[in-house]
Amino acid sequence: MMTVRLVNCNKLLNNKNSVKRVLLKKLYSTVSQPAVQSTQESYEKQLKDFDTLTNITRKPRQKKPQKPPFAKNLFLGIFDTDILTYPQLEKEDVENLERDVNALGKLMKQNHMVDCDTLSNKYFRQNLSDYKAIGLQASQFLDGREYNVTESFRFLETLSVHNLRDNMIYNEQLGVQTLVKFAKEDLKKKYLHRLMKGESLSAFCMSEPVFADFNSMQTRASLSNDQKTWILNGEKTWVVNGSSADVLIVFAVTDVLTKDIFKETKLTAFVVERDSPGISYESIDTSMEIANVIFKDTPVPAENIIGEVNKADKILTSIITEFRLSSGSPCITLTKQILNKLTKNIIDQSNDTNMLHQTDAIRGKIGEIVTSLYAMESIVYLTTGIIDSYENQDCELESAIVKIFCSQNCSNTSMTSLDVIGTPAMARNHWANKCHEESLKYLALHETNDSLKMVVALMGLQYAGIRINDLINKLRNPLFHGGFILKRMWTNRRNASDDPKLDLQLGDHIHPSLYAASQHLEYCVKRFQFGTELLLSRFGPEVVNRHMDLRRVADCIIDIYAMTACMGRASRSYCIGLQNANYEMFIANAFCNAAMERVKYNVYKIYVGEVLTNDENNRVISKSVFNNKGYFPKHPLARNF
Amino acid sequence: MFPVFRQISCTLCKQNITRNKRFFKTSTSLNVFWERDDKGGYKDNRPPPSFKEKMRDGLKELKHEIALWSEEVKERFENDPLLIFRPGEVDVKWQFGNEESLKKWIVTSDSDNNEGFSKCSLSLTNDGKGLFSGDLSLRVPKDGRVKRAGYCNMKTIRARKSFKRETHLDWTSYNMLVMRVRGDGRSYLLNINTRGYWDITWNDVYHYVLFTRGGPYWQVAKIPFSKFFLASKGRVQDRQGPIPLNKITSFGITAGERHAGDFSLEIDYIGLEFDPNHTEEFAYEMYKMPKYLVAT
Repeated sequence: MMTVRLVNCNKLLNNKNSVKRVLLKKLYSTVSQPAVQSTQESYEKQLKDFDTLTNITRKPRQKKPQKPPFAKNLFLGIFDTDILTYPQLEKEDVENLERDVNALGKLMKQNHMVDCDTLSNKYFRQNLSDYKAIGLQASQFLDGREYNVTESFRFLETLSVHNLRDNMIYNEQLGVQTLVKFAKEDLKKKYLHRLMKGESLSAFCMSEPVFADFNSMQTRASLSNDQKTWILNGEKTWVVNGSSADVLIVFAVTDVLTKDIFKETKLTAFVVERDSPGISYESIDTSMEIANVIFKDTPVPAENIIGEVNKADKILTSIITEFRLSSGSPCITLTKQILNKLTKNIIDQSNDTNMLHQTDAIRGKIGEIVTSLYAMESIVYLTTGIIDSYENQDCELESAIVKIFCSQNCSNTSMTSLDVIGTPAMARNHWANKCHEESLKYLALHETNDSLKMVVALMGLQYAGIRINDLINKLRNPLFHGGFILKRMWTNRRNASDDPKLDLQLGDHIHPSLYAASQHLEYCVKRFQFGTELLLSRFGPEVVNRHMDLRRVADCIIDIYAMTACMGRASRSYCIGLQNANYEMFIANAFCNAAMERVKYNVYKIYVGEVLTNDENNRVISKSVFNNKGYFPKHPLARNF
Repeated sequence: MFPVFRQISCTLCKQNITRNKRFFKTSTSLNVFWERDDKGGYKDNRPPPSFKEKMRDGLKELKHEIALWSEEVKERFENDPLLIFRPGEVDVKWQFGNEESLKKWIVTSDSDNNEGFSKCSLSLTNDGKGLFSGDLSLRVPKDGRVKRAGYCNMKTIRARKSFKRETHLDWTSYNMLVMRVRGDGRSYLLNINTRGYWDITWNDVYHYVLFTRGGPYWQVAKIPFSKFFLASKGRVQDRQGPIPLNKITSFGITAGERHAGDFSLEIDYIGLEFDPNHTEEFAYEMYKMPKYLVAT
């Protein structure tokens, strides 16, 4: 066995013959005297290195060529039926993954791990590192796992069982991932390896006190006179892991391009060590170790730049996209925990006189929770699957959808659990209360769901606007295009009467028993296209300010994407005959029914416009509030005569 | 003109014959166009009764058949079909309880045709439930012909109207098969025969597996008809489709596991149910295959 391994090593490392000799001598030595301690240690290290090298497996990951973005194309009414084929991993990959995930799951349940309440605990991190749970996507030569996105998300799901889930995910998805994806080799050796071994911890410094978009970033970095160091100045807020991180990844403005009135800032990413001069910390929240980090004339060596100078916006978009997506995993785990605890609680409360779990009240709620959890899982792994199967696939819209959908449903679930449990849940240390607090984090930290909804709608509308520019132009100038308008009135007549022609034939791409659900999806896609065209033609470029309609657009696209995911997954499970797959069909049908109603309602609201909705009323009321700087109606008991 | 044709056809036939001669066939030849025998070669070879015997037996049955016929006529005039399906209620179709109920079933096994050594019987238990039990033997008789052995089967007799006219059972208003059984942990095959008029449909049987628990408790198995898949002579068909519920000819249970030994399946009832929540028509994908590739 050992010789085989050695031969393997030899094959891998032809130039390390000397080491092999040393090893052989050590392993088959007949000398009874123990070797000198210090050399033994070095041998062990070499052995470990060899172990790593021999365990390297080639992972041939063939990606298919890039596709047009799926969710963005939905704005044009184009549905890519390939997405209905739910992505899956190779059998061998799944087996390895499940084995490793189970091992990690056992580790996370051990008392010394559960009791740990801060990621600044080095032993905690090193324990994780022993299971290779840090640096999941890093190269195997760095002792990483070289996972694809799907596999790493499965790991994150298991890690999320722990209370430090956010700290771990911020470290992994923001800090480690930035280095894995964009850092040069020497930076990787210097910082990434230590991060992955658990010896240091990273923090991602992006947010600032006044932070609307990348252009308004205030932190500056300028090159020193000798061209060897950059001098950092500025303040970063809400830095998760900030109070204990050793490696800070800082984004700073290094150049400003001015074209007429437009200013474009160029960002650069730096790796800053904790003990560099001129850094001060201000702890905000102890539970998540959030801190404000202030840089005052902090020197950063020029080789600590991640990627290239002035090119950090690419890093940000890529990292943030995957980070948004990664909030799906903890939401899934949290929701699952809530559901399982709630189920147990209800069963415990049921007795012969009061069969609580058989009441309609409970059944309705549990059904809804399971449906939303199922949709969350489907949507996360559909998106990761798309990223993994297609080369350089544009999934920014999908990732944002995942973030909104998962965090929203997670908090809805925790609300339901509070409802069901009632008074006991008011206790500070009751699990339901704790879970609720946890779930709220995902709603607001870094990006609120509402602003992200605007982003989703705008990204899609921008994509669609460019492509159907001609159409919108004609629709907005009806008097110049009389014939076209009349023709369109005729072709669009069924859409106007809420009875679109369903000709996408989505039912052909899934199990026939999901035909009804596929019809719902088709209806939604068609209606959504109608809504998009309507909005663009009604408001033109002004649409960016119609936030109330943008919210509806976002709600629609979220529902449509989730329907696609649920249906694809249920169809796959049913076709390959997974356990309980027949219930998955129920869930998929239930979700599609409910989602179809929502999309129908939202598109209707877009269609009837501000007159028949409450939009205009809300505008008037809100205006008055701001004029009066607060609640303005008189007290109900007031009288003036 | 005509003689030329005949010549061509003659040569063609000759060619066919010679071609067949060249190969040594190991399987039975497939008669695409017609089945010789609706029992597939297992026809009863006892001599038919004489004319005298037939007349005597027929007249004996006449009274009963006429009573049946008059019932049918009355029913036709009453014309009172079941319009409201009561969801969640089981309509029991076969139940045991007396010796008479056993007469509705035909029990066979491979030993009946000298093709194996399995033995089985359908009997009544002390509680009046049906007990399908026996001994499944995988031993193959050494006749050089039979390759595999080991099945026991129970099957209902063909549904019929008065004067021995064959008819179909109509189960269109139901979508679930419900069985209350007590098994031994073995799995059994449920067969729904939908024999049609044409010879290619003679052997159409829809199958699904009944998984049983080995415990002392009764179990209620609810199986949607959508789960049944089509097979003919035991071969799952490439071209599938939902079961024609108005063309049911009989229902059967087979013990044919590849584990030899005793088996016993206790049956309380076999019934049907309408579950409005189950909308599925057929649970399996139906791929569109190129023409003339399958089931031609």
